[in-house]
Order: sequence, then C-alpha cells, then structure tokens
Amino acid sequence: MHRISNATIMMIVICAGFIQVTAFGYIEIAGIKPDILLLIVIFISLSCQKSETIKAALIAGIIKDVASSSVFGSYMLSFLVLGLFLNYHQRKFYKEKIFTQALFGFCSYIFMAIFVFGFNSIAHRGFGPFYIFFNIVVKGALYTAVVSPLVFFVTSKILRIRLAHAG
Amino acid sequence: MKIKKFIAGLVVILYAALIYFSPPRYIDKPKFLFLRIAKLPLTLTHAFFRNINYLVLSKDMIQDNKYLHDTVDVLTRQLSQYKEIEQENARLRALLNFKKASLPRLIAAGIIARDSSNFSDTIVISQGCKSKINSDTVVVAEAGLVGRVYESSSSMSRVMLITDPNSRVSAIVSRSRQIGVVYGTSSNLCELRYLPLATDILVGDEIVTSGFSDIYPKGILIGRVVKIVREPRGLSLLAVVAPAVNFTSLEEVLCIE
Repeated sequence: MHRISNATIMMIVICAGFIQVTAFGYIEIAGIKPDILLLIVIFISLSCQKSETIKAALIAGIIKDVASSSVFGSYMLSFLVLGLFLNYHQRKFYKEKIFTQALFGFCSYIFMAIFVFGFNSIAHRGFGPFYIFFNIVVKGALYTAVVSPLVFFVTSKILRIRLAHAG
Repeated sequence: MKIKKFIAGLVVILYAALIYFSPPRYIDKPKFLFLRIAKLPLTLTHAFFRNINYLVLSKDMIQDNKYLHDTVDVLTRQLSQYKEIEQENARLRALLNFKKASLPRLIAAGIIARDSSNFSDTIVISQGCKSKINSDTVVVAEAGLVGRVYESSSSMSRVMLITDPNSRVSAIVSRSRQIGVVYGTSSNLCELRYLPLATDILVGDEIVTSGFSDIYPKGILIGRVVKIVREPRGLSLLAVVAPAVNFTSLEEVLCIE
C-alpha cells in the first residue's frame, strides 16, 4: 500500500472539487455530469492506507456537500463509508482492467446515490419524485462509469501509483 | 478498536438525529462559510474554464456574431416602433388617469459555482442579503426565468434552478392561456403538468409564469414546448418544456428585488 502526504491528498481532491463545480457544467449530457470526486475517493481507497482514505473521503465529501443543496454531511458520510469499505476489501475484487474500473465507478455511484437519498429523506429534503431520482442515478452512474478508467489513469499518473502493485 | 467503532457509530446516529430534528437552514450554515473562503479561487477557476470553452466554441461564435448583428438591426427597427407605441400608451394612460406600474429593481450577480451533484440543480451567485437578496427572490436572465433564491448569506446566495426536481412554477401557455405547473426534472428539460386532455397546446408554444403565486411575477418566459404526451395515468396531458435559458452557458443573472 502506498503512502501519500496530506498536502498531496488535499491538493488533488481540492483540484478535483474545483473542476467538478466549475468545469463540469460544460461537459454535462442532458443535465448529467460524472462524479470525479467519487472516483478520486475510490482510487485512493483502493491504493492507499486507511488514514489516507479517511482524509480524502472527508475533504471530497465536504467539497461535494458545500457545492450541492443536499443536507450538510450526507456526501461526506457516504464517501467515508464507501472509502472504508473499499479500503478494507481492497485486493479482493479489484483488477486493473477497464471493465473493472468502470464497474467500480458504476456500483459506487449507485451506493452513494442511495445513501444520500436516504440521508436527505431523514432531513425531510427529497430529490423530487422517485422515478426522476432513479432516472438520474442510472444516467449518472453510467456517465461516471464511462469516465472512470480515464480518471483512474490520470490520477495514477499524477500520484505515480499503479493499482495492480498497490498491495 | 471496538470503542473507536462504537464512537464512530454514535457520532453518525447523533448527527442523523440532529438533522432530523433541526431546521435545514441551521444544518446548512457552514456551507456558506466554506464558500466564502473559496470564493476567489472558485471565481478564477470558473473564469479559466469559461475562456477555454470560448476557445473551443470560437468557430460557432463567428457565425453567432453574424446572426446577432443581423438580429440587432431587425430589433432596432422594432424598438423605434415600440417607442412610438409606448408614447401613445403613456398619453392614453394619462387620459384615463392610470397609475404607472413601478418597475422592479434588478440586481446583477455572477455565478461562482454550480451544483456538484446530479440530484439537484442549483448555482451559487455572488450577491446576498447585503444586496437585499433573500429566500424566494426571483432570478432571471436575458432569455427568461432562471429560478429562485433558495438560501442566502450576507454576500452569496444559492439559487434553485427551474430544472431542479424540487422546483414548481405556476405557468400559463402564452397562446391559449391554459394554466399548469412547471416541474423540474434535473435534466435540461422541465415538465408542464395538470393540463386537461382537451387543452389547446402545440409544440413550440411559449410557456410563461402565470403570476398566480407569491413568488414569481407574471409574464416571465420559462421556455417552449418540445413534446406533448399523456401523463402515465392518462387523466391529463404533460408537455415537455425546453427552458428558454441555456443553463450550461449561463454566466450572469439578474435578481428581481
């Protein structure tokens, strides 16, 4: 497992966050954009240690919470739970193949969406009718899955980590 | 180790209880604090990507520029006609002793950040309570209705766009005066619902705000009908509406005080 400095984690997650809230409006398709912050958290939890996963999940979650209208803390908790789960089962499922990366992106997005939906329902803050929510989740998960190999590749180049050798 | 897990679980349960029992505006207070800290870098990043987008679209912009020049010529001619009509209107109003309707004050604001998730459609703008922008302030662009302010701090506000799944706008079909409600769908389209089956509505019809609410003034363009279908239960019609405002390229908005 790799070790990354706190500064590097902060830098990469904050940069990803800024791109997510400013640039992704230009690449959205039918109002749907991929979730780069989620993919960064997945990458770090698959390649780094638990402490780094927690730090990345917390920072990414705060950025996501601040820039969305959902209840504060919902993305932070979902990233934390997802990151810790992936970190714990790091080597069991993951293989460095495009299909596996896309599948991880897809499943993680669905998990995050259900978690955030549940958390916001507790706070009496819905996302409109369920069929609309379902529609968005499927499209969002697909788009995130499509870009996940690229994001994993770029992140691994920046951090100089290969997931296959991360363990 | 077990104690750590227990404490972590306890924190999550306590937080869930806190958000269940307290009003959302208190839970969301820290958001504006973070946004205030990140305001400058966010504005700079936004400007950077906007310029890149301009470069990418520069070819289309040359054609757009030509089209806009032609349109300006046509509109200038129309404007001179309207000025004549306005003067005539003023004279007739004076004859009838009508009071002049006071025009609302418009406050310009730039967009700092867009929603980071797909489940809601909001933007953060650079004006807040200091400029008398509070919850439910209506936000428009040159092309039409953008949405309404959802929450505001002293120098920033979060605007719920009309495409947000929680957005509802009382609307009217401009041509046939049929009333309905525009729902957001979180895609780039909205839905005009509760139209009777015999409604006179066509693809291309303009949808404007009806004024039958305390929030949105009458007559603001929402969008145009692109598709008409029966609602799943078959009791009424549903019109799919393309918003007049292109939210992707939106950079500045106007808040109606």
